[in-house]
Amino acid sequence: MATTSLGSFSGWTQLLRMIQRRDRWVMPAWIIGVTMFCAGFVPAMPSIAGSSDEMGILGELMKNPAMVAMCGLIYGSEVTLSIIYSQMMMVWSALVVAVMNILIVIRHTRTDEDEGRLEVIRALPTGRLANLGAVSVLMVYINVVVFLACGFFMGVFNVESFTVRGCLLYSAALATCGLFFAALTMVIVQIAHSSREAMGISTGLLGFFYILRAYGDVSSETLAVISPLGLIQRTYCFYEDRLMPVVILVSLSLVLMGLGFALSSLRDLGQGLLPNLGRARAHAPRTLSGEWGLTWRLTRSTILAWSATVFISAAAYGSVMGEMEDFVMSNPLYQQMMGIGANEKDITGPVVTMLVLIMGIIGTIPVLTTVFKLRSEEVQGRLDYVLGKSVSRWRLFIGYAGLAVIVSAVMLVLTAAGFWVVIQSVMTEPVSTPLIAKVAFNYFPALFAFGGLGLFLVGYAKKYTWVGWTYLVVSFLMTYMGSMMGLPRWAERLTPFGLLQRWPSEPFSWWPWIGLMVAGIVLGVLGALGFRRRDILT
Amino acid sequence: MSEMTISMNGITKDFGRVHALTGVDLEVGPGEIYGFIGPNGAGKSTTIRILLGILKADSGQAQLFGKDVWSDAVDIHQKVSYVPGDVNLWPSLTGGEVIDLFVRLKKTGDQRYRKELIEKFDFDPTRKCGTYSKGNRQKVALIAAFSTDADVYILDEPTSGLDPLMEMVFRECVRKVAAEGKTVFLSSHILSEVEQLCTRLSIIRQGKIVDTGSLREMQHLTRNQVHVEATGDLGGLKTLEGVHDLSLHDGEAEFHLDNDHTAGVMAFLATQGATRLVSTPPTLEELFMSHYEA
Ligand SMILES: Nc1ncnc2c1ncn2[C@@H]1O[C@H](COP(=O)(O)OP(=O)(O)O)[C@@H](O)[C@H]1O
Ligand SMILES: [Mg+2]
Repeated sequence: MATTSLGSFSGWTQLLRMIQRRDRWVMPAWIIGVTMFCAGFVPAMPSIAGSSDEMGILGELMKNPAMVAMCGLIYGSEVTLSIIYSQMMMVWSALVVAVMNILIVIRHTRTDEDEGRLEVIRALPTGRLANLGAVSVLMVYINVVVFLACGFFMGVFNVESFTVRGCLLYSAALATCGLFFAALTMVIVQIAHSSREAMGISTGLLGFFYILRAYGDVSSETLAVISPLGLIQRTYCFYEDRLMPVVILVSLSLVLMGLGFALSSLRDLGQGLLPNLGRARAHAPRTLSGEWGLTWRLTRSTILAWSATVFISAAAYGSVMGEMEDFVMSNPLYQQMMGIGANEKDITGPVVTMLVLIMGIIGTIPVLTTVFKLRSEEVQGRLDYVLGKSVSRWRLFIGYAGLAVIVSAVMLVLTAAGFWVVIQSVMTEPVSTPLIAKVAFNYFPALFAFGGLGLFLVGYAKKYTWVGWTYLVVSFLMTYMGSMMGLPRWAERLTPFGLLQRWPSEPFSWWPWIGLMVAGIVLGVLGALGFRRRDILT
Repeated sequence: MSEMTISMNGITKDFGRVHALTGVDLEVGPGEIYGFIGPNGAGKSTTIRILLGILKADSGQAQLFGKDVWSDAVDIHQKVSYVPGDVNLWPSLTGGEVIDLFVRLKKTGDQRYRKELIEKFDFDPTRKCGTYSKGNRQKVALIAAFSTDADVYILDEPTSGLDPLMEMVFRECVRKVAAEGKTVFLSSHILSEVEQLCTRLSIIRQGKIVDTGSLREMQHLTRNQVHVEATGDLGGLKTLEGVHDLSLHDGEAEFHLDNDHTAGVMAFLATQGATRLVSTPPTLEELFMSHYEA
């Protein structure tokens, strides 16, 4: 048995100072970013729903099971701004805080170990638990700072219904949730074999807890409470203000940290305690052959993740269609945003268009990541190897291009399917299927053209892939905020999504549709020609 | 139609203002184990990447099997096995998957020695590439390269991450394919490796080929290290032509001797009653250094 005495920790203060020095820019950036996310929207709350009418409708909107699953619980005897905030933001803020904790812990434990830095430290007169001790103290410290910063910012704007007590409890819940995931990660880094594996397990568990909570919040209180993400909402901030969940999470964190120390003294540096799982694949499966098989293998997890995101988001939007229409009808700001005239009665069309538009822009992200994967493979120096085999640049390029076209179509099909499935069951007057399908069809050329732009950049201007992302962000801002900011319609037409007619509010036209398809093809072909001619360089 | 397996003619390549290669000529015949040595940044990898059609030469011709390396790359690569200098693999794939993938991408379908090589290189193919050390990533590339049939093996510093035992396995592999009549093009800055394996070699420095030939030819052009003991007076060596870096102790002398002045010096030593004479040809290292200092 390894002896665990205080001597095992000797030297931890120096190590802590070293970590602080290494991360003197990273830490403040994390803390500021996290605080902004957790508390930054508080002052904006009154403008989202100021009047009690709007609040009532928003409350109804949020009670929808899909919203509860996505965001969290809505509680209390009456709807207040702070309770809406707690529902919309708490779970997501907790996710952000948890990710920060996971990343920092892995960075200072397993990554250091994998890269041999910890070995150097062990050779110095430091105890074998000194590093983990330093990291524990660091994580407590960071989460306390997050608690103070977040609590302060939530309270300082003095927004109606945001009580001091509630704000402090809210941020304490977030911080202890963060500490819990830090402690959990300290255990995981002991059992995993590498920092990559530790990252996979930690984020996987986080995802699992999110889903457990989503399911639990809708249908089982017990399951929801088992998930730390569900547990923190049971503080019922701004309503009953219960401290118990915070106490439970702090105790669990301490237990996990103790477990982490125990496991750490049991194992050797560089080793993991898990048996070697799922790594027995000594041969490639059939699907992994040829350049296209490789392309699919490298992109599939991203594409599948985005597909699920798009489908679930579309379904979630679909489930609130009815409430959304009521909400839009009562809120002139939103009407203006969606270009709906004040007297218009039937707003189903415009609402569907707006939703497809947003989902289309989100769906463009995997189109661009697919296309840019070709460039990132090149930058990582792996294309050398592939092209050193009997692989033509043309076929390689076509593989990525073809996949991007498929992804474009799939994202819109999933958007339409997500809406359709839910709308059929939720709406009293179902939206007609052709309407949804046509709206989705209408926006296909926009995704297609973005794919073409990406291919062009990869082939001809490999250093400028950021242009594609910037243009997408601009497109989003122009179409989403354009009319709100009073931009004329022609300005919106400078982006692919704005160029297309807003059918059915505007009459459908083939010109922009075909124009964008042609632009996409031309850009793609130019990209291919460029890619075939140029050097493959990192 | 060239008889040569590899031929390069006046290949030039600039990266912006950096002149990576200037007028590189290379001729490698079938069945040769050809060494390509030079210090870091000399242009070895650039040359090889041009040979593989990954980079496009600014001017000059490069051919493999008499075909243009740029326009016929896909065809050519069916008969080429390549091990790059920096082996970057996909962290999410296992070593075994990558080996299979590489073999399949070559489209020759043949995978004769996979198992045998995995054992010889003492390699665990079931782990994700993200967890492999540099040496292990190199093994993936080497196993993939040697387990398939090829006519030419192009290896860019293939042993830079291997331990001495694995270097031996590597040399065994090279000798084996050479015995089957295959061509091997081996870039390296580890001179002993080239010295042990290669029949002919080129030395590249700052993008220019500074010397080409067999090791013996090169040694002929330079000086031998001579150690001599004699009963007479060796002081006369000072005045002889072809003697350099002379150091004298009582009855012993140590110097470098130009090969083409051997006869004169021998005649002198005979008159001084030489009792012991040791002459060592320059190692590749010394050859290399002589070019390096030039
Ligand atoms: N992509 C590049 N951009 C700019 N310079 C490069 C690039 N690749 C190589 N070089 C330069 O070309 C020269 C030759 O490099 P390389 O062929 O990699 O040398 P070696 O393989 O012999 O070490 C070096 O000076 C290097 O800095
Ligand atoms: Mg190199």
